[in-house]
Amino acid sequence: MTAGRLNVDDAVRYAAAVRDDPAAAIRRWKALTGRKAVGCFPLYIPEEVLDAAGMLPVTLWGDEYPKAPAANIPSSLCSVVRGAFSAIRGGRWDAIDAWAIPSTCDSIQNSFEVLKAGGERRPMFPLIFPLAGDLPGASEYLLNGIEAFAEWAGTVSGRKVTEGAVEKAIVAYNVNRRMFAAIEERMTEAPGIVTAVEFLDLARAGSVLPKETHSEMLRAVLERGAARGNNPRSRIFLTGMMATDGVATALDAAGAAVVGNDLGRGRRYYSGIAAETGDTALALVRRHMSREACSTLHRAGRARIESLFRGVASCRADRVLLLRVRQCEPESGDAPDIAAEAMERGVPFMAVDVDPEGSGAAASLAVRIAAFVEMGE
Amino acid sequence: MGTRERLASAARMKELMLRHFQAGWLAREEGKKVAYVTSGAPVELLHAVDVVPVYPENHGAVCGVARAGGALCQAAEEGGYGRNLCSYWRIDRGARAAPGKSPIGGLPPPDFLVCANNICGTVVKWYEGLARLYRVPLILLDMPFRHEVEDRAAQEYVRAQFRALPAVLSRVTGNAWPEARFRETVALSRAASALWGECLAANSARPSPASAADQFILMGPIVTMRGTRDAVDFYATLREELQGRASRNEGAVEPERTRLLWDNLPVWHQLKPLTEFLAARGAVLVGATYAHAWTERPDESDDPLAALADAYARVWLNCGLGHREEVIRTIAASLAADGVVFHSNRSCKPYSFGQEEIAARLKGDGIPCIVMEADMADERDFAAAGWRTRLEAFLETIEGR
Repeated sequence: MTAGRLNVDDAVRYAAAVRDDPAAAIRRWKALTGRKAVGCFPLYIPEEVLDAAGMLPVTLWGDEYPKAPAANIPSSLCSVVRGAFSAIRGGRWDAIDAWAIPSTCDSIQNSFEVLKAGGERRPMFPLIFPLAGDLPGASEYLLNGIEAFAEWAGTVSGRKVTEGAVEKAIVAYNVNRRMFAAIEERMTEAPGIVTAVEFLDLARAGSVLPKETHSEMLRAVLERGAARGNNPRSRIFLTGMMATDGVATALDAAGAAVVGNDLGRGRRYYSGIAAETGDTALALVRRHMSREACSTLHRAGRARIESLFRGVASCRADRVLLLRVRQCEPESGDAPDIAAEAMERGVPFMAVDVDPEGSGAAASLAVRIAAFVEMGE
Repeated sequence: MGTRERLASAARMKELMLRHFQAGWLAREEGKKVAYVTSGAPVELLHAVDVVPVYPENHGAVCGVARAGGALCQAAEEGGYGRNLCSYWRIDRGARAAPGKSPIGGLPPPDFLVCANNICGTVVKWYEGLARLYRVPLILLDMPFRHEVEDRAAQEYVRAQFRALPAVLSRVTGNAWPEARFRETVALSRAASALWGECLAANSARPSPASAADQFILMGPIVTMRGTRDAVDFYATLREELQGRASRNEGAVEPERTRLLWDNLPVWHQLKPLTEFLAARGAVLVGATYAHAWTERPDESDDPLAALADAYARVWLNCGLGHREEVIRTIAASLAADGVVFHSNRSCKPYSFGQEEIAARLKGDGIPCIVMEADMADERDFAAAGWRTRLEAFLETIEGR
């Protein structure tokens, strides 16, 4: 799949098309390349390894397809896992050839077990991350895991993962990360230059497309003139795991501009540059160990809260919207302390439960977001 | 049909647990430090350095039994904690806002925290919040999930963390590491777990001398006092009592017609009504995977830290579904269970996600199973009529076989 030299409108349309049917984009890539695609559960799979094995990493966020009524999944699980299982069991992800499942949270970690017990026959790899970088032996443990992952990827693809191939993948991913960071910077400097819906589509497209193609898409959007920016009613910082279509549409409709984020399907996925020289596995370990604070990674004390509000200040955001995936324990657990900190700092704050399953709540979500955007005008 | 009178050991257990809760409050007066610990943390090390362990999870269970869970969860929800969160966590947060709603007045403040993620990742978030709230050190133990066979890298990683613990605890407590005492606590812990295993095995008798509801209550010391002489003495006495009942053919439920195995934490707020409901139909819960989980113990070794690390890394909830299915089959066979009740516990996602798959496989082999949804400690999430109807139908199905 190559995007060629896209213009900005093509790029936005392309991202929207990927949003509407990501599996179609994967099938097209497979038809063109004859290679395999690996479905990755969120959040921190070292995709460079899969890329180096000649495979396409695709991250599933659970909101790609409408939910099937019952997937035999406990109702208390988060929408990401419920949505992913619903789509997998409904045959929506048949284009996926193998699965990589990290230890992000209990439910995602157990997804490996449940898929296997449910008869899933495609190859699967459970990648366990150390909980914190400062624990004794954590780096060695992760290094071992990444090496085993590379071996598995080589077996699945039939192409051995070499140092050179990982190095090339790291360079491509770094380019993509820098491009995404440039988009985010433009959104801070020229609020509204990229709408919330466009931002969500761009972030989502990067979960599906090869990084070179996605970088080309981002390059095209970066060429959009600054005049496209406007004077928004509010400068919003989005925190949490992911935005959904309902949230993005409501933000745009309310006249808000997203000027910063630390979303899982956003900054947290794209940030962090890996070293392009030296031992590649070690480079991936170091990248993981130095990730920005996240609800799914343990950091002592107030690391996430402080990192969040540093981000809010540097983006000159005037309010913070926490998008809490319904029944996501890591995010729900952090929310009260984030809310308390926002109150202490005098930063307008609102937490909303986003649930791709609950389409019936879209209207009330839009009303709440509109009220939040208008607050203090 | 009915239930036999309570085990005499239950009174002793109540006394022990009361003393355990009081010890937390008295610690400062006695110049001791208090540590909050997760149920899967190696408490043996804390006993060795004379730290008083306090278990917020245990407090959650106590509140659940007393049906105070709903009010405390509500208090936490009013503070911004989502209703989807683990009810033990919400109870804990609620009790900090409204300690008067806890039947034991909440918990004493900690000097430090010890959190192991071998039971779930939820406790990590919970303890991160406690560390921020109390501004105290958080000692974290990361025990990678065992998807399949033992992973040498994971074993080394966990052992490395355990080997670092004596120095960490010495620093936090200001005391030198008492190696001899530590070895003694590990030996006591091993003995208590072995005795607990024998207590559970006593239920292989027909009729079963105790029910899983008894076990849920009597497991207090094995959860909170591993590594103490009290726990060993208590379970030695309990074993005698249970074996005595078995030898006299005294059952927890008489007459006993149906024997069931329970999977997951109990529905604490329904222990009594559920036991009575089943007993009235000649059914008894003869065992529970949750009670069985505490039979895991360190191997005898010259390197007790490594043995302890290995034991804590292989606890029930840190193992894959294949292992869990195997253990369920083994327990069900050894206890001659006629069927399995899977409590799909809204609060405990790692325990509950995968039960449907295990149940499907057991059913495929002719073992009757039922999956019932509730919450372990939040009584607001319980549909009594639905439970009764489904359980009744389940028992009829088993009896009709």
